[in-house]
Amino acid sequence: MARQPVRMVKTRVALIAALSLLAASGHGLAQRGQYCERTNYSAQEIADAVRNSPLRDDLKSTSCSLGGLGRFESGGNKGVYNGSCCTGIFQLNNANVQKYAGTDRAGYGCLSLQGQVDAWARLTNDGYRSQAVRQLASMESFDGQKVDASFIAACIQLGTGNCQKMVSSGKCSGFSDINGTTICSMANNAGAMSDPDCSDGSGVCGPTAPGDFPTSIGIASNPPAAASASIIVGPTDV
Amino acid sequence: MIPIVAIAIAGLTALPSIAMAQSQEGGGWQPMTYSNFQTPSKSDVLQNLVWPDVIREANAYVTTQLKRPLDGKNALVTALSTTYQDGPRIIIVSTALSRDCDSGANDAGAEIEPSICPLRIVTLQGGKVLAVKTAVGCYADHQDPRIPANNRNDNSYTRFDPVAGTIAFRTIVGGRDVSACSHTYSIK
Repeated sequence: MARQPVRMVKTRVALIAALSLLAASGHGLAQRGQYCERTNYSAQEIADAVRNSPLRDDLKSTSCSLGGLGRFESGGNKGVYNGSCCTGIFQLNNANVQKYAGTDRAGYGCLSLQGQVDAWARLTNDGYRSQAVRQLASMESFDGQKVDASFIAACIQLGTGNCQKMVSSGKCSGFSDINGTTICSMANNAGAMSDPDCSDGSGVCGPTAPGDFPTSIGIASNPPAAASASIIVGPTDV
Repeated sequence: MIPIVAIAIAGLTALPSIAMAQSQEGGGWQPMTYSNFQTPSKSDVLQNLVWPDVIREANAYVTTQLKRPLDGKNALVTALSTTYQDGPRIIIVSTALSRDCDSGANDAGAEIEPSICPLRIVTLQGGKVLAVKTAVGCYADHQDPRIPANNRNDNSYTRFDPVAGTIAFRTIVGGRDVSACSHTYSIK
């Protein structure tokens, strides 16, 4: 019993030393965090928010994989902070949170899913005009991978300057984050994590049938009388 | 854009004060001073002479795109600046975080990167703007208390060489010099 305090002190000293080493290495205080409630939005819910966002129509055509991208980045948790740069469903970095959401990281983490996706969509729209994207969009494939809307979105997601490095290198490995994620692998992962039942390019996920012609607007809302019509279609003609 | 013709600056008294006290004779790197423009000021040179267009654009973005009222404030626009006195001239070097910046990766596996941003060098003399030079600089700050320990000294620095008529620029992020952010600008 008399030796236990000594052991506890030794343990405490060792713990403090370990924590000091971690802090000195610069990584000890880089802790993940959570703002507001933890969420678990599905790829489908994120894809729906993308479709309702101001994102360019040509990129919305890949909204299912963008739903997968949201799952890839945050696991559907809109309040998650990675402990360094990035927060939210699409892990916007601190500078982009300020520029596109007009708030700080904590405020951004507490925005609604749609609010976060709208800010991300505006960032993505701006990134679409960059040299890196224009160059990439002019290619059919890059380093053996098809250049499609998912690829373009991944290019913007990892930063157009970083994407330019990749494009200039001619290889997917021309840029990667600290986890080894490249723009090419991000595009693939986003596709893999999308909802398998989701379909791109429609107002809601589901069947892509064209639907009825609108009858509440245009000429269909005010058809000519049969007597004045120049073409008469009888029931048997249909 | 700011017109390059002379503009009277009577009434603009709030030059970035900390940097004003710096001597250009030491030749050392001066850390840039952080400014937040959310509180409007009619006497702030940075708000009224250097970045008025960027503040206007950010305000318009918040009210028309985000549809949020500003309630007499400005949008969240921040800038870094250094001010040098060179004889009768005052030279302001500043970079602002705006939507014209490329701010790097948005990714759970990413770390803090500097933003590549517009940089303006404004030369004043006798109450008038002599010249406005635009270039590309880097924005990095350490205002956020929850960033990792090795980012808590992130900043951009300038060094004025009055003989050569140049301003050198560098940015340190995570304890490392960012090579893409090393520039030397001529102000002759």
